[in-house]
Amino acid sequence: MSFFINNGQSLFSTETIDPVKIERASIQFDVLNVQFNSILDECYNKCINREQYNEGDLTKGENVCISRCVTKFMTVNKYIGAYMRDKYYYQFTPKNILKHYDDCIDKQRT
Amino acid sequence: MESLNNKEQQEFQKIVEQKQMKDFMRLYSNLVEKCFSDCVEDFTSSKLNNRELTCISKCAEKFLKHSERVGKRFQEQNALMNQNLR
Repeated sequence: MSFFINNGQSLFSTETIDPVKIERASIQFDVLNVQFNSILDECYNKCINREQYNEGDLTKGENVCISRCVTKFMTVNKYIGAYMRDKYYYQFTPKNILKHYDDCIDKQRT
Repeated sequence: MESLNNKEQQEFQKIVEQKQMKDFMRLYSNLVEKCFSDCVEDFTSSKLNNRELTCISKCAEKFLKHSERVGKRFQEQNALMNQNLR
């Protein structure tokens, strides 16, 4: 009866999609993605000798540098997060930091 | 991450695949820009010379290996952080 089964789940399942949950998951994904892309760029610029490409392979020094760079970047992220939470808990909010967004909304209204 | 049911997971997967495609195109154009900027300096001819060609292939290979390594380390560090949060 594989007909009724679609990847181990019934075609007639009663599950519904909660758009709020999807949106939240998608924002969490974006956060991770932005972080990954910054690391990729930052560590390339810090670790790779861009003046001269002597070989396509990563050198030993580059390998070590990249590993440390990734760890350090994420540690900096953690520290800044903790710092902001401790010192500016109430001020460091989207509404406070990105005030101009509200201006844009206001402008649309008038 | 919040637990999604099967249907939501499918929906989310679709979104992620779209994002992945977009991101891949962005990555590609960044790579072209990077290797052009690092390797191409001679404008006495419109053809790439041998030095530029070897530089470009090394640059591209280097970047691919770099992103592979960063990806691996990134995953490791993330797993570690999630463990510490628990």
